Amino acid sequence: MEAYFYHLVVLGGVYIVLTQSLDLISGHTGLMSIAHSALFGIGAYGVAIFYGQMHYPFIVAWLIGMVLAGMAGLMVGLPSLRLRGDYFVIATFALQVLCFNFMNNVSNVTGGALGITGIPTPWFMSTTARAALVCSSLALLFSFIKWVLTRSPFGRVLNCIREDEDLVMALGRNPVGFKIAAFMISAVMAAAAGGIYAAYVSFVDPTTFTIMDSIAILCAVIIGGSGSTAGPVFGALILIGLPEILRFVGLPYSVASNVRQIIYGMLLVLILMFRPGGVVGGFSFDIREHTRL
Amino acid sequence: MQVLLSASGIFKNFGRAEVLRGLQIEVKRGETIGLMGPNGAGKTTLFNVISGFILPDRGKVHFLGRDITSDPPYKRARSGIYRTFQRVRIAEQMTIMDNLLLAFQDRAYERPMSALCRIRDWLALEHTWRRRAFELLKEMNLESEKGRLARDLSYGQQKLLSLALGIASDAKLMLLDEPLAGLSSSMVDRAINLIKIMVRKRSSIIIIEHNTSFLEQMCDYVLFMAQGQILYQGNLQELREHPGVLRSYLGGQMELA
Repeated sequence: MEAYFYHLVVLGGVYIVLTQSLDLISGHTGLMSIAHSALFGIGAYGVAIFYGQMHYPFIVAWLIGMVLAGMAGLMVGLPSLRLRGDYFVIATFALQVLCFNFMNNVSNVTGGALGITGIPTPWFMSTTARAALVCSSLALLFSFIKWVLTRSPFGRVLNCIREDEDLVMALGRNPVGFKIAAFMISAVMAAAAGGIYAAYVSFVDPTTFTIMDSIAILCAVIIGGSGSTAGPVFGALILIGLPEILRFVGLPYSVASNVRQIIYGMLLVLILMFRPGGVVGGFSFDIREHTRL
Repeated sequence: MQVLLSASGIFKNFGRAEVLRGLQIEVKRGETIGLMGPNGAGKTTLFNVISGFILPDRGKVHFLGRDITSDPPYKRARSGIYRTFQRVRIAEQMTIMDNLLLAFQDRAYERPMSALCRIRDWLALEHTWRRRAFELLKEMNLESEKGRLARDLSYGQQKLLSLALGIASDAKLMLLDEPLAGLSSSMVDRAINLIKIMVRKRSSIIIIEHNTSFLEQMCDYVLFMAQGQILYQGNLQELREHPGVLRSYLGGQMELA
């Protein structure tokens, strides 16, 4: 039971880093990304390949994963963030599909559909208690970093980009540079979470990093409350808690994952209708602007 | 007096509609200019061309002696041009204070690295930015509302805020697009108060406005635009008798208020 609790803390910590990273770009900068499980995956594969297979020190492999994710973020952001609106979502969709197919098909690098197994557990995660401590500290650290970033002059510009890009320009700031910087930071944070995740579960395979996971993370952020610090934490808890609850209800595994999607969908609709800011949110997605409800 | 802005030979077509036709304008430092004209005369388009949100088909725009014709809007804003929009533009889901802080804050501290590594520095500076923002809020009678989201303000208060952003950004040239339209009389007084602050700060101002008594009170002279050109430049008295002006307002049948 104790081990199970620690296991949940580890997953919770990892997912908090991930949802905070997504919230920086979607909640604060107003740009929807559906590539975050791919960026998470880049970090995970970085550790799996460079630490698990090539035996670099963990920290080096971890950083390589983050740098790769940052570069992927730059590659996608550079052309698409010069444009406004929905182009960015489409570009992140492309990144997601590209990454998944790379992981699934380039077998001699990524192990293909079988993934990479037998990643040794680093010393600081040798027991579940230690891993829980490491992950909760990382969750705290990255939540703090994001909190500082979003309250700084930098974050104020990001918030204003979400509100009105013309206003940002009228006040003498170039939105493009800020958007690219925000997306790169977000990508690096997501990869940091992925690297820790890979080291903890000791194997990676492409099915963990699909578009459905990306959308689930985005749903979790919106349900929890985007544009705040507490919201993504709450979202991550839903992301971890819901499968566990369904497990205790005793649904067979094949049914449970579908039921989970349905519940995410229902929660999302209910939240958007009755509490557009999310459970503990700051910024609200006002759907009334787009639809008549 | 030093010439701040000069635009010459500005042409702009939207499809087949010729909106600006060889327009010429010169603004000297510290001048307050009223810009009048019937709907569709091209007043807002002129603002868009000066502030860079629209590029002209032909013609040059110089600001402080530098050719800014192809500069993007944010570069022009940095060199000191602020404009308000006819439809109020403020960051609705940010607090009033944050709106102002955005205009006050130093761009040198906006990089993500300095946000993280120089926390002490920007926190110390933020104190002064907040104080200056608070001063401005007092001018608007909004000091008790500083923590509210900007979207919760009334329309008039939002308009005041958009004027205040110009003062906060310390621009040398303010382009105000109908700053008084839709305001109640008490709001008009506060808006005029803010515009007077701009005048005191020696900013040059161009105001698009139809309220002639206001223009008479504030402006050094008025420009009258019709069909994409400046038809008349001078004081309001003579403008009222100008035959071309009367003709362009409903063919001369309407008396100017």
